[in-house]
Amino acid sequence: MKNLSLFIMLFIGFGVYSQSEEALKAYNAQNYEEAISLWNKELASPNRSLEQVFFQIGNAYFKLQDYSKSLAFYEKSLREDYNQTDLKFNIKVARAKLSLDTENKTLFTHDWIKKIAYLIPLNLLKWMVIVFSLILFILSAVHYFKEIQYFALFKNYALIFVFFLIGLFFLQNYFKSEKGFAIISKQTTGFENASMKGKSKPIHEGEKVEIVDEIGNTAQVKTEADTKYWIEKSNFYII
Amino acid sequence: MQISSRKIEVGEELLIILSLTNLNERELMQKKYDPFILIGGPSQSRSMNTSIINGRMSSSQTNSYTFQFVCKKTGKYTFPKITFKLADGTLAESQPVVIEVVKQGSLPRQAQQRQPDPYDPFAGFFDPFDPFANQQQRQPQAPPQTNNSGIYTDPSKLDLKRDIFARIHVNKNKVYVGEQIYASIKIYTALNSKGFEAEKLPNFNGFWSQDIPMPEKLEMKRETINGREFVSVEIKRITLFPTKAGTLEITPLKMKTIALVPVSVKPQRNSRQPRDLMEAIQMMMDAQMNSVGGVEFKEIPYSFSSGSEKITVLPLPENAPASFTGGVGKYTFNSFIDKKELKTDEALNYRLELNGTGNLPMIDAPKATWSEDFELYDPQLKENYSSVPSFSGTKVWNYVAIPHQPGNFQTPNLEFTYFDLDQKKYVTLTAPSTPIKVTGSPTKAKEKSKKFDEFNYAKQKIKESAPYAKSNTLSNSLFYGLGILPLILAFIIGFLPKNEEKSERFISGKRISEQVTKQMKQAEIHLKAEDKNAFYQELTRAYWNYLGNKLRMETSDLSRSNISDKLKERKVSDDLIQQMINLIDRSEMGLYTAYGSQAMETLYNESLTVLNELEKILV
Repeated sequence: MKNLSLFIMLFIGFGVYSQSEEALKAYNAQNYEEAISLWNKELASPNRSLEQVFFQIGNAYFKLQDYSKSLAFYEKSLREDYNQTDLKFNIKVARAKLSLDTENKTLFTHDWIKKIAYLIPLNLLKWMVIVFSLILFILSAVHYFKEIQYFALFKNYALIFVFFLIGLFFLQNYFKSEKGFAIISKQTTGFENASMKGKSKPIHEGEKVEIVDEIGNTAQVKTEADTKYWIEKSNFYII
Repeated sequence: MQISSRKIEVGEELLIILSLTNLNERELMQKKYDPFILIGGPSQSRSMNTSIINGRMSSSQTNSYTFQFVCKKTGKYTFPKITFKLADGTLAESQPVVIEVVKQGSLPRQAQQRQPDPYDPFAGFFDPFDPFANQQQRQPQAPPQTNNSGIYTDPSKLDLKRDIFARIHVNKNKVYVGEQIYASIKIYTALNSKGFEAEKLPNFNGFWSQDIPMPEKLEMKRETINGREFVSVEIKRITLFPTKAGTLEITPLKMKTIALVPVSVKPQRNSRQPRDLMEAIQMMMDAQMNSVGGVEFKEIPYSFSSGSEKITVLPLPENAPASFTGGVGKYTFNSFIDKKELKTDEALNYRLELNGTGNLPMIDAPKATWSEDFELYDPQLKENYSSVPSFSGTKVWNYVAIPHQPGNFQTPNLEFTYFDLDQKKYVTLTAPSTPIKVTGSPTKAKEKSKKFDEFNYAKQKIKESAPYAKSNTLSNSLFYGLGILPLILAFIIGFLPKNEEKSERFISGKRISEQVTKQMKQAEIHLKAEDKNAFYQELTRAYWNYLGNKLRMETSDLSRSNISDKLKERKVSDDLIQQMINLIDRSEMGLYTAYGSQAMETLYNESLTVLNELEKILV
């Protein structure tokens, strides 16, 4: 891992920190609203680190006791980088505050495959693919003109490794662009019928739901209990 | 036989209702009722009547046929007999009646008592669910705008509001949350019409609703509203339970139909001169008809809607006990267990049964707290409801509890609270606890929900992350350019044609010895089979193959002389070279000479030792 971080250092630029520093200051001074607005500005700036900004905004909303909104930002951050232990811990705390269970199956879906997919940060992954495919290119070019013993074997291993990296890249990209999930923003009534009548059931604030279908102002969502209900769109935050 | 009136105007509708009691009729005999013209019907309605008097039951079935007639000529007519053919072949006839038909406008109008709001077609209409509405209703009222016969004189000014309409009836307008409401949707029509079609069904937002099954054939009824005869059809019956307090609205039902509207045709004066005799006769006949005044039926598409219905929903009183789970109505409550004595790890079935009338579908299971030595599974729910006459039924929760410790236990003392609508207060029922005896040795419960208690996340502080660091992101286009392009180029190089010499050299050392070992093994097989020719051939091939690969030369380029030169270059001892060449000679000779199997075996063994020696040097 140390080699990896060295590798990261090579490709990280050192920008101006003023905005984020101010936001952290505001957060420490318990000016959570100000911190949120500063972080939102940071979101628009170049070279921002999405998972960190979302994490910070989530923390600020947590401090403001808006747990469902905080959960929405935590989920956004989790989508950017799945392997954040602090973040997963905070998600459980926020859910516990809303008296939702913290061991739900739907909370961290495809856990081990996501852990692998997010093993290497996307940017580093890109650079690794570039470097290794350049190496591969040079190897095969040299090999074409000059014979070296055991060269072919080495080239094959390099090829397999590059394909593995590319696989990771697409897998991580797939999980990052995964859409159609939402966090219930307030306790709401879900109906089995699209006409918002008939059998109904309350859906708890903070629940992570999957949007299955949409008609006008209503959407059909799959709740954590794996049942489908129709609710109004104003009752959730899309993540 | 009922007749709407014995004296009618020209063009006025004459209604005849024939009731046949306990007759098994099959078919209506006549088709013509001169001078009356059948404009509607016969529409059939059936009613069963069962009565028990002094312990004796009698039942009768009555079929009613409704006919609508008009007459175009004035005069006194005897209404023809209406004859039915019965199942046994005999005929049933109606009594003859004398009907007087008079000129239009000669019958006195009924005085209007109250002017209803002209824009509200339902003002003053009778509500079948309102017991007080009937008294007003008994007084006949003539609807405005149209004349009593329902015939429009001016087809351009049609207003069918009062002829066809729909209405939503609810039995209560002020209820508690969870109190049952019974809604029925009815269509009323005074005209014949071709088919009704719903454009928009009412919306029951804020209600739990369930349709009450309707008979396959909708029943038509005759109702007199404001002195006018209407055919009413109930198209939908719904059970509603309001789920929230406040004023809830049932949105209107929208329907469309094609109405057959009787329009009187005004006499026409034809000033044109007839061209020939035939036309003159035709015109005379027309004139005679028109002077009397005819009635035409026009097909007019018509959309109508019922009014919306507002319902005031009162919230339940706030002092609800903790055991209240949403029940409103009247219930009984019981608990059952399947055994009183059991062993550890044996399943105990615990059943909660809720019976009664009210909002059963909206009631959650009462909370039961069991001893920790029992492992409790989520209940299975069984429901059985009937919606007529009022929503009632049974709701059963089946729990499975597994004891893990022996001892004497009690089933939980369960409380169930509902809101009683008659007493307007909360009523709490209790299901008494039963003692259970558990025998056997203690067992371990599956770790199920204990994890939640071990670590209480709600009491934790969130973790705030390390200082923020920006990250450079590499654009995807650059990534594809720098990363994927060299990869593709590397592939292209890999597939470029290579000359044979080069590709031969790529074979690695490991593969060579594998190939030779294979050939040597093949030779051994031939040796054992005493297949002389195959043995020597295989052996020779193995030598040449081995030397060619080791010395990196084409097999065809090899000869005895260049082998020894090349082997000397690789620092192989002269002795070993001589042995090798000797081997080659002997195997080639062997193909043509009659060496015995003994010689084959020694040759084979010698080859193995020589090749092994060579392998050590050439690597």
